[in-house]
Amino acid sequence: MDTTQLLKGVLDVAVLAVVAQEDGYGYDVVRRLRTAGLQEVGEASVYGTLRRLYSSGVLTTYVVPSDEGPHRKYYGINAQGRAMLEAQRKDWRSFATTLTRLLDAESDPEGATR
Amino acid sequence: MTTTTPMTLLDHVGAYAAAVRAALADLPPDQVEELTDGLEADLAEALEDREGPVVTGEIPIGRAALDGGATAPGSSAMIDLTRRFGPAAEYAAELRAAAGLALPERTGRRRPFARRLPLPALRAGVERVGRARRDLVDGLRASRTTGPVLRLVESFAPVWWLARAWSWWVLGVAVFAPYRWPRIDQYVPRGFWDWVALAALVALSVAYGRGWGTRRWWTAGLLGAASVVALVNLLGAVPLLADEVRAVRWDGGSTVEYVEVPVETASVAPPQDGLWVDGMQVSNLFVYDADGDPLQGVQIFDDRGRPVRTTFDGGWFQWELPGVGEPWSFAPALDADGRNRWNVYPLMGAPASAWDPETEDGTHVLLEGEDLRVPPPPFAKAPAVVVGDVLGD
Repeated sequence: MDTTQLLKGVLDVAVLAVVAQEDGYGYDVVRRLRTAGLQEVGEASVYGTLRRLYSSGVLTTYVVPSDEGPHRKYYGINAQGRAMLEAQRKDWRSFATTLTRLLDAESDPEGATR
Repeated sequence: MTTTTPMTLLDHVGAYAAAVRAALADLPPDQVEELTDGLEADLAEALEDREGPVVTGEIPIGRAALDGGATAPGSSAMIDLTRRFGPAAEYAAELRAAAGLALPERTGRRRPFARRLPLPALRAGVERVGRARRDLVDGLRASRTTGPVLRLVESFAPVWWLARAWSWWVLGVAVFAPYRWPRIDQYVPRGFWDWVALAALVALSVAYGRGWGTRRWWTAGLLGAASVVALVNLLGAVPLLADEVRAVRWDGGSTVEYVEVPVETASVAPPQDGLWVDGMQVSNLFVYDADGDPLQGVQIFDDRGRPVRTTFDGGWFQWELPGVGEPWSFAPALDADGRNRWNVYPLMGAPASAWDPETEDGTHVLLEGEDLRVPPPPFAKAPAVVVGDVLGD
């Protein structure tokens, strides 16, 4: 299954969850997503998602200058973001439960015999 | 362990980020800035991340240095960032899509043109060519070698827009006013309406350069074809203009022209025959002897024995004589053999009214009862001279 397509639908909530743990800059968020197991997450997709979430007002941002190179743009979550994360978490759990039940039933049509 | 000097890395990263920004150039600048702010830091860190996953051939710089070892860390070896991040245009498209922004106008504007073409094969061909061209440009843009060159070339686009407008204008002149003079006026606007036309074409060319008219397939096709024509015409018109400019410079402001200058032949080129005194043609000569008495029937020759003649009109011309109201015509003397002699002075003649105006055989004869006579002399008697005095001494 093409997991990149799956990722597209849940990238918002994944990014929100990562930033909710701790403020982070672009590649930092990517690394944490990958560490968490989302290996195929696209870097540009994550950066774009961060920008869009910021634009929609659920993230805050601040710039941290660097002596050695280009500055980093950090993102943090705000109250609105936390509310959104909470709502999407519920949606995800409900969706995941439904889909799991559906898939399990399909893979084991005679599940009752087990 | 340091794997790459920051400066080398940042050069590459800066070039790649610039290519990404170029691919987003259709967005407002503040939006591009917001979208790509901090991009260099993220790219640099992604490159340095030794634990970064290798996806479809991407090679973290740290890992390459660790594994290979052939390239000394920190060397200025070429790093192809497209192998790590993919073509900049695709990277930009992903960034843009994730940020929820519309796809670039570019793809939106070229596709309809190709899709509306009548034949499926043609449509597919045009789309393939367009895609190949896009891929090529994106590849060139993302490369660290050709990227800066391409961006430099692209920054000259407005120059091409102006040149294209001028080329159109020159073509317009060639069609609607092909015989403008001097010839440099066929290349350089002169006068109000020239400038108005050129300004309109500049506006059209710049608007087209900025994407106007590229959505509808027929305007896109028309303007595209006109651009090709303009380019071809430009290749011919520029050398011609250069020639004209050179001509103007050398001729001090005008091209070579043929101007009719009225030339008074008589005053400029002296006549072959006749006698002239003080700028006036002489009609007759009066000869006086040493005592100052007038002579008649004097033959005059020059030092080569040629007869000296004053008139060549055969007696037909009418001469104004000083102090005489009526013009005179002259007649030749006759020698013993009956030949006309015009060098016998003073010439004999008669007033115009004494001549027969209508002779049957076209000869010039006197009316009946009229005779040839000597015209009035300037003096009845000239001062006497002593001939041979000088020689005698």
